[in-house]
Amino acid sequence: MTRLNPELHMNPLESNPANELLLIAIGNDARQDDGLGWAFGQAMEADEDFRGTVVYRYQLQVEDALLIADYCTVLFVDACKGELPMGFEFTPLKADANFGFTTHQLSPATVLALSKQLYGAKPQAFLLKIAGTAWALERGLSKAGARNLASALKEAEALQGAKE
Amino acid sequence: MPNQKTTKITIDPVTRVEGHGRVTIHLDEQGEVSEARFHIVEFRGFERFIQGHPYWEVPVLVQRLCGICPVSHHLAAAKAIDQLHGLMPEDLSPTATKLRRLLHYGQVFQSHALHFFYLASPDLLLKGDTPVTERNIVGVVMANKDLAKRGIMMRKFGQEIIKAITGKRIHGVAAVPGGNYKTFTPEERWFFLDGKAIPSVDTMIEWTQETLQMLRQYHETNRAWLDSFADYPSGHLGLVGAQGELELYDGQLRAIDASGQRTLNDVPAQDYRKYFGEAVEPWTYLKFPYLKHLGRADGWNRVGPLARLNVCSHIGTPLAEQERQRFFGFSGHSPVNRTLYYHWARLIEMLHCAEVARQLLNDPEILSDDLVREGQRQEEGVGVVEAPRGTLMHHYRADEKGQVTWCNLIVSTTHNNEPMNRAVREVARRELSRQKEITEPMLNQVEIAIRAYDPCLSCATHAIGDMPLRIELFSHDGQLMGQRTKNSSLYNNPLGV
Repeated sequence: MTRLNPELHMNPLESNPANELLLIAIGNDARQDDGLGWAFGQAMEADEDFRGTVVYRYQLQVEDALLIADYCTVLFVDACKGELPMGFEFTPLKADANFGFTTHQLSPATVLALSKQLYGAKPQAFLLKIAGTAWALERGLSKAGARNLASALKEAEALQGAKE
Repeated sequence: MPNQKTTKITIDPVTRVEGHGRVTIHLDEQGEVSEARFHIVEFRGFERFIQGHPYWEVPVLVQRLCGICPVSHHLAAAKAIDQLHGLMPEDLSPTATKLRRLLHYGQVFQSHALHFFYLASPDLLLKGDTPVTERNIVGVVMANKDLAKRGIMMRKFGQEIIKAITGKRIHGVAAVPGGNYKTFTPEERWFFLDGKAIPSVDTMIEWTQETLQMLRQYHETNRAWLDSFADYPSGHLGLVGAQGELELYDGQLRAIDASGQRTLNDVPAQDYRKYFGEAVEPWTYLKFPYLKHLGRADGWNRVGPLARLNVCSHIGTPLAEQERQRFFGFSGHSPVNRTLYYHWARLIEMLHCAEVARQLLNDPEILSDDLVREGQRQEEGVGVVEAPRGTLMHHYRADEKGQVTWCNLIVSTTHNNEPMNRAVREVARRELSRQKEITEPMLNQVEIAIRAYDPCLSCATHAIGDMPLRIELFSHDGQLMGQRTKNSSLYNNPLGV
């Protein structure tokens, strides 16, 4: 279980003024479960208890390092290939500049590292992965993907409840 | 299949390239490179997917081909759809045409900025023996923070233009059949001119000039490497304007051979099928376009910034034209067939784009509400633009109900398929032949050759799925000697568009 540890006060939905929480939803809703991140972002935006800003990305890019530099807390949400015990995984995220793959698509950890290096920003960051199973060029989530999204949203609801 | 006397090295796929590619290098028994190929290993079939959709949906749908250059697909499709709607490019209102041009030049500016500052700069600014884990933008940031920051702002400027015209940074909507969707407001215009919210277009020009100056110095210092790296003869293809000038949005097709002789003499882009054939090979899904009258073996062309500079007679904006003259003055050759000159050419185009953007932003006509024209429905339409990576062709037919019945796309990376294969072969022969040990820097040289073309493999194959990075080394008898795996994502993000 990788739920956030409340004792560490690392609940991304807790005690954040409206302009201090940024949710970056990553994916593509034209490719089935790759839209999980966006679906989560849309659900959060529709939740009147949610206090924060949501942006949508097909992929993270270097300029996102500039964007997150303006926020105290950043939550990255993306679909994940492969199984997760809860159907989703919620983890604190640390900056990591040591990588060797495409820069057309940066990882959240790398964006954090860039933000720190370029702008001296150190937002508290979290990563929510939601497991998907279908990736065809098609709109709509798979049954398993929708189920995992619902579980992740339930967890988010609990976290929001915890802050009140 | 490699023969039994060769060693095969596989680089699968190439890092810092959009999509999924793979390189195989075959060594013979003496350790000489006998063959090198750039493979495309996935295929999605967007041309079939689009069939049955109403034609007016096409400019929106085709943007899903790519998250890096969606505007190019949007505009190429829009130009084709205009023709289905009964309108040629010159029939559109001046405002619609100017807004589309501003959108296109903004897109090319930001895409070139992405490539130069974040993909190519590690190759140019970091030493060849820099560990592979540091040969990326983070490495550049560590080495030159100001350059990295500037790159971010230049990319942002182009993206803000896209956002202002389409409503979104990626996959917005600007073009509709016969024109444009929305007006451009005075506030939106001032956003790019006054330098308050973001650096102004004047600053973009200034920064691009400074970057060009830096790159010129780099060429002077590293001339031997830059001149000899993947230098091979080829044809060059691109659009040109009515006076032969560099043209990215709408023009005629011109091609030249390696010595500069015209092989395609300013023909209408709509007639591309008369002149271009598309060959296939069993080892790749990517097609090989060629000029029919020259044949498959000799009719292939490079496209993109270097090719465009080679085919045009001049550039219609003064600062970029000055840089073009410096470029050819320095190289001493016209056309330039040296692969690494793509980077310099790309920066000159950035300067041109910024100059054009400044002209358009200061043109009061872009604020007009004369946006859409009507025409007489046609059955067929062809749209050709110069995308950041090169000549992009969209061709559609629609039935009487307006449903797309046929589609053919020739994307920039497809034109560069043969050139990239040649570049890989040239570098592999130089770097890998007779080497007792294949090292990471040697393999990186091959990747540098491919990255110079800025290939977008998700456009070319419409690839879907992970981009694991795998390098395999086979002995001459086909045995796997070793493999290396990189991963494009630390957390299995499956689809990077």
